Amino acid sequence: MGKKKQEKAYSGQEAVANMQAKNEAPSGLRVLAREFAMDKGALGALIILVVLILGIFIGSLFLNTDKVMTVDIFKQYNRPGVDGMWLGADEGGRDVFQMLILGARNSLIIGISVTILMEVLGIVFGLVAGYYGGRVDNVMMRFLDFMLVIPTLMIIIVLVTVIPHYNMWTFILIMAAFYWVGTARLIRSKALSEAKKDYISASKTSGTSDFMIMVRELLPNLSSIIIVDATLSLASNIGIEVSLTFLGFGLPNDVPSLGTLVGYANDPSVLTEKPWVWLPAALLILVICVGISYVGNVLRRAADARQRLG
Amino acid sequence: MWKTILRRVLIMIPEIIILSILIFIMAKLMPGDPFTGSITPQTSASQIHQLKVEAGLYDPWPEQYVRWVKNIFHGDLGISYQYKTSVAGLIASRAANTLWLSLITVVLSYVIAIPLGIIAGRFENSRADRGIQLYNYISYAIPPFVFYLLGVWLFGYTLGWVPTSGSVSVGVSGTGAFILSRIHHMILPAVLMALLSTTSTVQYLRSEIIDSKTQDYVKTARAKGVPEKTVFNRHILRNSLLPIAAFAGYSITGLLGGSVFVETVFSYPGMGQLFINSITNRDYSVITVLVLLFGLLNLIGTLLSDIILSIVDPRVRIE
Repeated sequence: MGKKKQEKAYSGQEAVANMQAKNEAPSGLRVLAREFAMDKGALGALIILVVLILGIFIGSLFLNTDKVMTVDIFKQYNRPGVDGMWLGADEGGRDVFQMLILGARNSLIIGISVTILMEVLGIVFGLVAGYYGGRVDNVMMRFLDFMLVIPTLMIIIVLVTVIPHYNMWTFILIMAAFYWVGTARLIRSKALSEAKKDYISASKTSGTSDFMIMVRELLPNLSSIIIVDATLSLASNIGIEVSLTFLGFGLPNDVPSLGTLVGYANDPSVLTEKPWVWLPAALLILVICVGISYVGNVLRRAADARQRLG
Repeated sequence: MWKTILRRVLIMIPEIIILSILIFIMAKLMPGDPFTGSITPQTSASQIHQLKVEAGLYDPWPEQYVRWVKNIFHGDLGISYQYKTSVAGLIASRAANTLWLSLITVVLSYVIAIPLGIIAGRFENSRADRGIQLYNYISYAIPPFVFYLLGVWLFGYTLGWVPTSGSVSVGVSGTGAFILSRIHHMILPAVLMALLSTTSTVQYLRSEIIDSKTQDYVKTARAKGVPEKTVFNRHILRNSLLPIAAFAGYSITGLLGGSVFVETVFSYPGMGQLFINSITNRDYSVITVLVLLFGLLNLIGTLLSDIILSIVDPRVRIE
């Protein structure tokens, strides 16, 4: 009891001292807020992203995919502004603006789902390999090495064309199945160095089960790295989905994605004479991907005290 | 060092075997068979059956796998039923285009990345450094095909500076004109690809230089009174540049994968375009060989990087 009181008193004292010296170890959120305050570009990126994402998700609530995707050839390649279509119409007379919102929503959903799946896979694999180390790690790393040399993109394209009953969710599974490797390597290397620290050895000695150590002790200490990795992966996953759909091997045809719209530019006459079909989608992809990765880099700086600006 | 290389090569063998088994299974899952292109409505079902039995398509998979591998070693990669020529010849005719493009891209990306990395590392946190970092974020985050598309739209169609498709103009005569035309076709895709593939080199060089600045040997050199310029060029730069050399192998891997996009956007007749073409036309014999080839090139790329790394950095060697 007395000890606790002493601790409390000490921490109070410390806080006061720190406030005076103004160099207290700040909490995560405050570090983040300061990081964003120091970097006006990042703040701008964050605001643009939030507005865009909210707009996309709220806007898509008012749209019906079947209705938007209905072909009306009388409106084929309508110019922007004609028939109340802000951004004109595509080959099938569909409203480009509405497709843009639905496509962006689908691309975001896919990006987020793939990121969650691959993070889970990568974290489990990396934690086990890094925590146990030694022979377990050796075997698991050989497997990762192998995953790194297979021509991922080509195999995904082949799988997409071969798999029967192909839909959005199979696509997400296929992507996650190949892109978790980088995360696993990252988590493994961090877990490996973290697992050598004293607090882990102490827990082992006091008989905590391996599972509890991994989940309750190792994982929280890796959380900042995981958040940063997830954000950066989100940007690249959206990029990969859009790229594959652009080539024609991503989403099924009846599900619009940003890649579908940009894919129209494969036709030189659309590329040169009808930029309203593909240019907005291309620019939106740029803004979303660059924005997310910019914010991710701020998170990275906040997670690593040596790189902080403020 | 030879031990390291030998061990590294030995690790490759099981990788090649597993890769080939995977690709074989994938090929078996694909619809169609080697006769799809030669079957006409007049061919009867029993004839098809007869052909398949002769080709051993009803044999157990392990047997078929062994035969497939044997054929590969004999240089028999099958027949493309889209082009009706041997797959080996078809790929050989496209490979040079992709390899040239990749080579020029690698060279260009080092030409761009090394000065940027040096400036960013040497003048850490300066305005130039901030700008280079920004370029790094952007070039890393942009999905390549969007960038290529904007590039071909702007420089190819709108400004008309470069051709928008093919690898050489029709009707060019003379070696000099031929080479010029080739370069003219490759320059835009190569520059755009190079601009996007600098990220890791710049980032690595920058952090290596920043780390070296506080190393003991640099402090010693400064304490001895070595001029700042010499300290930077002789001590810091030399040590920081070495590991960059090791990236060459990995960057080959990245570029080959990226060739699928660049060649699609620029209609450049290389292996990436051949792959997409074969997929759309369900030309499975070509697809199988291309996936295997890209896998092998990936393996060789990482092998190359590991060997270079073990030469420049003795710490990774195995005794």
